Amino acid sequence: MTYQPQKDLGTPQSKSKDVVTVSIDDREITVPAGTSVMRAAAEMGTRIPKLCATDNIKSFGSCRLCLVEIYGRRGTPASCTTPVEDNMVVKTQTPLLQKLRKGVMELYISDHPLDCLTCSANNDCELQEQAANVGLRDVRYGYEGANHLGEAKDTSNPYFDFDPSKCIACSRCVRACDEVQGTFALTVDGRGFASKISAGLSDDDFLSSECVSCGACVEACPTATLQEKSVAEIGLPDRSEITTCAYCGVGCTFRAEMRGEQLVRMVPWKDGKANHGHSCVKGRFAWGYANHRDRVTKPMIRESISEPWREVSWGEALSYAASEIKRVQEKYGRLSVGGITSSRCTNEEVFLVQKLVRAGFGNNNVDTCARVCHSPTGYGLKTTFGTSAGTQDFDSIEQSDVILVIGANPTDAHPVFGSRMKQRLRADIRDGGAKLIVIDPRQIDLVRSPHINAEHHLPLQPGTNVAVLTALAHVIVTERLTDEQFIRERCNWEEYREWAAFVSDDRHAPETLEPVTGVSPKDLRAAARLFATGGNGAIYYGLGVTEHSQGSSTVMAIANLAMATGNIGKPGVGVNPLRGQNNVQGACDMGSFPHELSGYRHVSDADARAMFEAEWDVPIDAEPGLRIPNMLDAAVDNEFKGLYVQGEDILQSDPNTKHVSAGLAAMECVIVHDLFLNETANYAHVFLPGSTFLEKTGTFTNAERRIQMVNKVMAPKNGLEDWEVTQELARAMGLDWNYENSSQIMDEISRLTPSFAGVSFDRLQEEGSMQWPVNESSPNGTPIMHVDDFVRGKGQFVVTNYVPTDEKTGPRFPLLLTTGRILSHYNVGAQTRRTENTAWHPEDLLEMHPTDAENRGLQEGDWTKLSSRSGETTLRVKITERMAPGVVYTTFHHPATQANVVTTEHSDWATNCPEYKVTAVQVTASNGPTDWQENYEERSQKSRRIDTHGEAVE
Amino acid sequence: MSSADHLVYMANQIARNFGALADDAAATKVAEHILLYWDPRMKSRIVQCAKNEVSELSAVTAEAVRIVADKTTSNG
Repeated sequence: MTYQPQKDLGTPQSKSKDVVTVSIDDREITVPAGTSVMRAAAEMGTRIPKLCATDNIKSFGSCRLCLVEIYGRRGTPASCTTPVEDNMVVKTQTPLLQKLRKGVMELYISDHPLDCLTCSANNDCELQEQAANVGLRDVRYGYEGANHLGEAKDTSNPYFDFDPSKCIACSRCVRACDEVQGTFALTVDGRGFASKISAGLSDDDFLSSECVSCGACVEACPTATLQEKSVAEIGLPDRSEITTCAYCGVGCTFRAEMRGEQLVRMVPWKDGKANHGHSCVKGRFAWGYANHRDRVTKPMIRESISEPWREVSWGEALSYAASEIKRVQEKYGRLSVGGITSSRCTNEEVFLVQKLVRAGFGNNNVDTCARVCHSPTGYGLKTTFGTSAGTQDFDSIEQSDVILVIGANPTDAHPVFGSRMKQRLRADIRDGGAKLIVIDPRQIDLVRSPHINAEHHLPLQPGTNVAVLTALAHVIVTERLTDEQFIRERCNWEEYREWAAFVSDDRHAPETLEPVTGVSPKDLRAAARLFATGGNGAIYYGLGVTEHSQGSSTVMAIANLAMATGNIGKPGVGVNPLRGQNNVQGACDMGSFPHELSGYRHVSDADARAMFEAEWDVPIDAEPGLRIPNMLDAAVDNEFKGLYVQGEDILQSDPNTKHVSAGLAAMECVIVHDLFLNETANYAHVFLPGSTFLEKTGTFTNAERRIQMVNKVMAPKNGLEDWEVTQELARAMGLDWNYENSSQIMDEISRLTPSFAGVSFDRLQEEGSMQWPVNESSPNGTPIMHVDDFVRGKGQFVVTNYVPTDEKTGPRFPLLLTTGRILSHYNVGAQTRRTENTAWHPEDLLEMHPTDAENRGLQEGDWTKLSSRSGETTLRVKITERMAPGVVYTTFHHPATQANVVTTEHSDWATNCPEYKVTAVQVTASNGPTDWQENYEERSQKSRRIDTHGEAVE
Repeated sequence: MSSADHLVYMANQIARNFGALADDAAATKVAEHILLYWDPRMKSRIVQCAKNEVSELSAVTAEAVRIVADKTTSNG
C-alpha cells in the first residue's frame, strides 16, 4: 500500500459497555461512555487539532489546541480531557476556536526552528500539520527573544536522535515511557519555560540512561525531536507493509515502512493484537543484520571441513546435497540421516523441512530448537490438558488479580508483553493492580521496579522448582483452599485425590522442604494463600521452568496448581508459557518433533498417518525418530551420518559444546541453511544461503497460538525464499513437489491438521490474525482454551515426584551457574550481534553476589575462569546483589564466551531438554582466554575460508 | 559417559520420576514412555544393555525394559 501514517484517534478507547450519543458539528455519533470528545470526533472523521494527545496514552490537556465549544458549558474545554455525555452538542470549528488555536500555535512556532524544508520530519510532523490546520500565517512575537533554538543534539543512542531545539514539551515521550513501556526513564526536568526532556539523571544521555530504547517515545513524538536516525539518513518512507517480527515469541506486528526496496523503519502496528502498537529495541530497531556484510548469499560446498568453501550455483549445491544424503543412506541405512527445523522460519518452511525428512528421507528423525527450550511444555501440557500450548491470549492479563511468574524474566526476554504485565501490576492504577508472586533464584527487574513491588519473591535454589510447586500445592490442599467444584466438574476426581494425598504428605510441607529449596516457609505459605484466594490467578513461565532435569514435571506441577485452584478456562487465569523464539510455537505445531505429526498427533496413530500417506503418497514410519541430543549421541557412535539444519546454530546453542562438535565432526554430510556462516557451519559440507523474514511470505505463530502473516517487503538477497530452497532440495532428491507459493503449503497444512482446518492466507489477511484451533466448532479461532472441557476431556492431575538433579555442588564446584538472556540480545546473538545493539552488551558477563566475589578476591570487571565438569571458559565478572550467594549467572549471546562449553549433558527426563539452568561451577581469577577458546577461534577462522577465485579468503 | 551408559542413565532417570508410584505401575509407565519417545535404535540398545547385564538398570527400569522388549518383539 502507499504510505499513510497510522490513524491516531487522540485518546485511548473506552472499554465501557454503555453507550452515549452526542452531536458533533451537527452530526450524531454513538460511542462507548467515557470516550473523549476528541476521540468521538475522530471516529466520525473530524480531526480536532491536537499536539499533546495521542491514542495510546492517557489524555493530558496541556497543549490547549484541541479546544471545543459545548452548548450550555462555559468556556472552551479541551476535547481530549472532556468525556462525551448524552445529548451533548459540540462545535469543533468556530471563529473563537480558530482565533484561540492560532494564538496557541503562534506561541509554539515562536520557539521552533523554521527549517521545515531540511528537517528530517518534513511532511511527517504534527506541529507542521497543525500550523497548516489552524491557518497560521505569521508570528507576531518575532524570534529574537529567549528560546530553545540551537540546543545541542543528543546522538548517543545508536538508533534515534534527540534534538531538544525541536521539542515542544508536550511530554508525550515521558508519558509513553511511563504508561506504555513502564520504564519511567524519561522525565521533564525544570519548570515552565525551563522545562526540558531529560533521558534520566542530569548527566544521562539516551544511551547511558535507564532508557531501554523500546521506541515508544520516538513513536509518540509529534515533531523531529525524537526521530529514527534511519529516517534522517534515508528520508520518508513511500509505502508500508504489515509483517510480523522475527525475534521473540510475543509476535509483535510491525509496519515495515519502505522507500523502494530500502527499509526505512519498522513501526509497531497499532492494530497488532499481540503488541497493540508497542515494540522493543530488537523488533523496532535491530533489523540491520539483514544487510550485514557477514551475510552469505551464494551457495557453497566443500568435500571436507578442512577445505575452504567453494561458491557454486544453486543447481550444483542442491544436487551435491541430495546426492550426499542418498549416498549416506545407501551406505549407513535409512535411519542414518535427519533434519532440524527452525523456530525462526515460517510455519510453511518448517512444515516442508519435516515433510522432506518424513517423506524424502523416509524416517522421523526430525527435531527442532524447541528441544532445547519448550519441549517440556509440549509434554507437560499435552499430558495434563491435552494440547501443547498456552491457554490464554495476552489480553487476558488485563483481568488477572494475581500473577505468578516462575522461571521467566519477561522485561528482558519478552519485553513487549513484559510492559503489558507491568501495566496490570501497577499499584497506582484504579483497582490497585494485580498482585505479583515471583519464583526465581534472581531478583529479576519485575520484583522491584517503579510502581511495582512484588508481594512475594521466593528466591529458590536452582533445580528445586518441583519442590517449591509441590509445597505450594501442599499449603493449598491442606488449608482447603482448592476450588473443589471446578475439580469435580472439570477434572478426573480419582486422579485428583491421589495427587492431593501425595502433596498433603508432611514431607512436602514448606517447612520440611526449606533446607532443599532455600525458601522461607512463611513466605511460601503466604504466596500459596494469595494465589489460591486472590481472585483470577494467572501463571506465566519461561525457560527457568523447562530447562531442568525435571522440566516436564515442573510444567505438570504448574498445570496441577492451576486446576486445583480453578484457574483455567476463563479470562485472567491460565497457564502461559512464554515461548522463546518467534515461531517456536508454530514449529512445534507443524510436526517438528520426531514422535509427532502436525497438530500433536503421535506417529503411532494409524489414522493420523493415513491422512499424510494419502496426501503424500508415501508410507510414514510408525516409530518415533531421534531427538537432537540422541542424533548427536548416534553420530558419536558412527550410526548417524547426515543432517540438514535449517536456521539453528546447534553448536552454539546446545549444551556441552565438546559433545556437539564431536557429533558434528563424525558426520559425513552436514547441510547448513542459514543467513550466516554460523558456528555449526564450521562442521558443514554444504551451505545453503537463507532469506530473512523481510524477504519471505508465510506465517508465524506466537506464544498465544496466534497465527500472523509475514509479508515479503523486499526480494530475497539469496534469490530464494527458504521454503523454495527446501522444495528445490526435495526435487533434487527426486520428490515431485510443485508449490507455486507458500499459501499452497498452508492449504496443505490445513488439510492435514485438524486444529488448522479453517486457516488460509486469505482468512488471515481478512482477520489480521487467528488463534488456533480454528475449526468447525471455533471458526474464528480460540483466544482462550479449555473453556467448557479440556481438550483431553477431563483435566489430568499428575503426581510430580521431586527428584533432585544429579548436577551437584561440592568442594571442586561449589557454585551453581544458571544461564539466560538480556534485553538487547537475542538467543545466540547471530542477528543482534550484527546490529548496533552491541552498544549495550558487547560481551557476556558473569553475574555474581558481592560475597562470592570477595571470597575469591574478584573485583568488578575482572577476568574470571568459569569451570565445570564439562569444560571451562573465561569471561568478565559483574558484581550484583541481584544474585543470591552461591548462584552465578551468564548469557550465551557471544560465541567467544562459549558458555555452553561449561553446561552439562544432563537433561529433562521426559524430553531431553538440556538442563541449562543448573551447572555446578567454580569461578577463579584468570588472566585471559582458555586454550579451548583460543583453539576454537583459530578453527573457526580456518573453517570459514571461502575460495572465490581459486584462492581462499577469510 | 559412553552412549550405552548414557542410555541406561536416561532410562533410570525416567524411572526415578515415576518413583511415587508402586513398582509395577512405575515399570508400566516407564515402558510406555520409552515406547512412545525413543527411536528404534535406542530401544534395541537398551534391550541389549539389559540382556548383557553390563549396566546398572534399577529394578523398575529393568522390568520396564522387559516390557519394551516384549512389545518391540511382538511388533516385529
